[in-house]
Amino acid sequence: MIEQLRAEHQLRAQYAVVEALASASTLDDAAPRVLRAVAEALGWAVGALWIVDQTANQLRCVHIWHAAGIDAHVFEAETRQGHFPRGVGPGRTWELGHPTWIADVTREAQFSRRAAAEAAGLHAAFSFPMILDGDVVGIVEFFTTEVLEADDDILRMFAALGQQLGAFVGRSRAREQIERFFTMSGDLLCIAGFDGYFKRVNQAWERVLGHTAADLLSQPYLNFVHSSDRIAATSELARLRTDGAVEFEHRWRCRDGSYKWLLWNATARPEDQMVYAVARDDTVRHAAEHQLQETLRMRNDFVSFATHQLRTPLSGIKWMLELAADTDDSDEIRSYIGDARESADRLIGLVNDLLDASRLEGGKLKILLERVHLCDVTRGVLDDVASLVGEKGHTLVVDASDTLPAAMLDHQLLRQVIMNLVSNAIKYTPSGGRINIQIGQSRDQLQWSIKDSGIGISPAGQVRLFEKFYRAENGLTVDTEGTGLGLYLVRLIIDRFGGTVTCESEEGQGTLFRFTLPVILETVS
Amino acid sequence: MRKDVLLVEDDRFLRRACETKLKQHGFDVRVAADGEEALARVHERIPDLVLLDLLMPKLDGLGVLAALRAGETTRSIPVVILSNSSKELEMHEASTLGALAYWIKSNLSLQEICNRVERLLSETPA
Repeated sequence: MIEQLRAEHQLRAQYAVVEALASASTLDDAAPRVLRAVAEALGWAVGALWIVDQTANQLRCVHIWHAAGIDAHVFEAETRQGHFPRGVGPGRTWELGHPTWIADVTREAQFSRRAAAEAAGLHAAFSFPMILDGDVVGIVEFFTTEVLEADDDILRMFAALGQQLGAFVGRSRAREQIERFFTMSGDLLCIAGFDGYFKRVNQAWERVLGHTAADLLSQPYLNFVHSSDRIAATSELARLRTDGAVEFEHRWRCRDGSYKWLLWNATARPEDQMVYAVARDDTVRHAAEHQLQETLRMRNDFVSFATHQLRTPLSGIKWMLELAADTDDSDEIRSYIGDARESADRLIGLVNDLLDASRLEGGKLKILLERVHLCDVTRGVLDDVASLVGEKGHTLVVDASDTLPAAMLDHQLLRQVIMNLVSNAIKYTPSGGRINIQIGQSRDQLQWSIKDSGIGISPAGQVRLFEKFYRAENGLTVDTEGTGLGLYLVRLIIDRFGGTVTCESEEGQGTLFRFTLPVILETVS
Repeated sequence: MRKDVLLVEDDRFLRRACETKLKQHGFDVRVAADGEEALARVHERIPDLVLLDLLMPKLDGLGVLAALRAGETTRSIPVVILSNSSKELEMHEASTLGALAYWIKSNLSLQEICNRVERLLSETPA
């Protein structure tokens, strides 16, 4: 009768353990249920579960359970805090690799928690190893309030249970490893249903797009796809159901409203109506590709515009010479040849500008630094353009401070800058206009500006004014004879000297160009 | 009757050279230095042929061509593009807008231009 009862209890314990393991996914979840199930089925008072900490090479208590009415708090504290190496305390079972039984721990000299056990009224104990692939991965121990001799049936039963628990540890470790991949992956991983909703997303989503998992799961995922890519995305998803696996790329909205290119690799499992997909942030590559296309486009534009600009004076030379060859009138001949020469000068000017621009762009232009006074350079330029100013009847006023320091600059390049700005002002100001040049200093910067009473430049034009080959849209300001490189060169040169050049203009109100240069004084080398 | 050619060219050297040669060749030549001026000249009198530059201030050649094609009275004016630009996109658009030909200035002598104009005008009904 007692035998029968005992067998029944053991069966109940086994069944309770199986049930506990089936409903838990981690050892932390399973431990309290297993301990309680076994202890209650066998009528034992306290149970503890230990796991082998591979790194520390000792046992660590995962959980301790005690029956109601047992005051085991000291014992429990010692158990929780105890770290037993192999061969010590519960570590003895670890070392032996099979179940062990102690009839009365209070009489066992080697039992380290003896005093605490005595205080809690605990006597008999048994423990068994959890075994995975032949290795001990943990220990389970139980205590009862009675002194009991070893029970072989119980020990045999728990040897089998140890295998079950070990297998459980193995499964949950494998799951944790997969889980770790899922969590740690820099790629965006997700499981989505055929219903159009995400079921699971990993943390990479929040890192890359900024949306929380809750946000992503709360609405159809197509909502996050760029509106221009939705039709494509829908057809990719349809293809996924028929083909089983697809690769595609579209833009996804980030939390901050920007978009990122995601490169997808998705597999469908129609039997459970799920899509398993991996996405990679491909935005950088897209940007690089876009940049490359843009560079190629700009190069093509440059070549075709440069071709046009070179052909024009060449045509002028060719046609003027053709006309000169066809006539005997020496005045006519002289006039045609004069025009041909002017065209040739324009061609040379253009070639020189192109060369300067290319050298400045490549940082290869030789720079000759010398002590330069802005006022002197300006005066030199104004001498050269005096007749042009007179022809157009402009009033040109220079307002310069007398105390400006000399700066270390390249005289030729600075002259080029000032010449460009001054001749633009003369050219684009209708006859009888006013041109004001101001030269001054603000702290450690030289300031030079020119204001004309011309028709001005639109805001959009101002932005692009310093671009290579830009011609303002504003008809009157289009320079039909210029190279399209003047202001671009101005910017390159000023940049080269660490200064800035700006344009302020209001249509109808004239234009102000200003450049600043740092005052770099002569240094002793 | 002398044929009326409208030469639209913003570069003053090229304008002068081409105008001189066409006149020597016996054409009536009017000139325009930008796109807006070109349309104004056309509306003063419908020319027999327009020699049209592309890259110009105010209104570019393709803009002029489009405007001509949109006008009831200007729709069928024969237009030849005479440009130094050889961008495929522009060539394509000019042909789409019905330009008779696309000539590149630097590749032609003034004599060749006159011969071609002559030939074109003899083919098109007055």
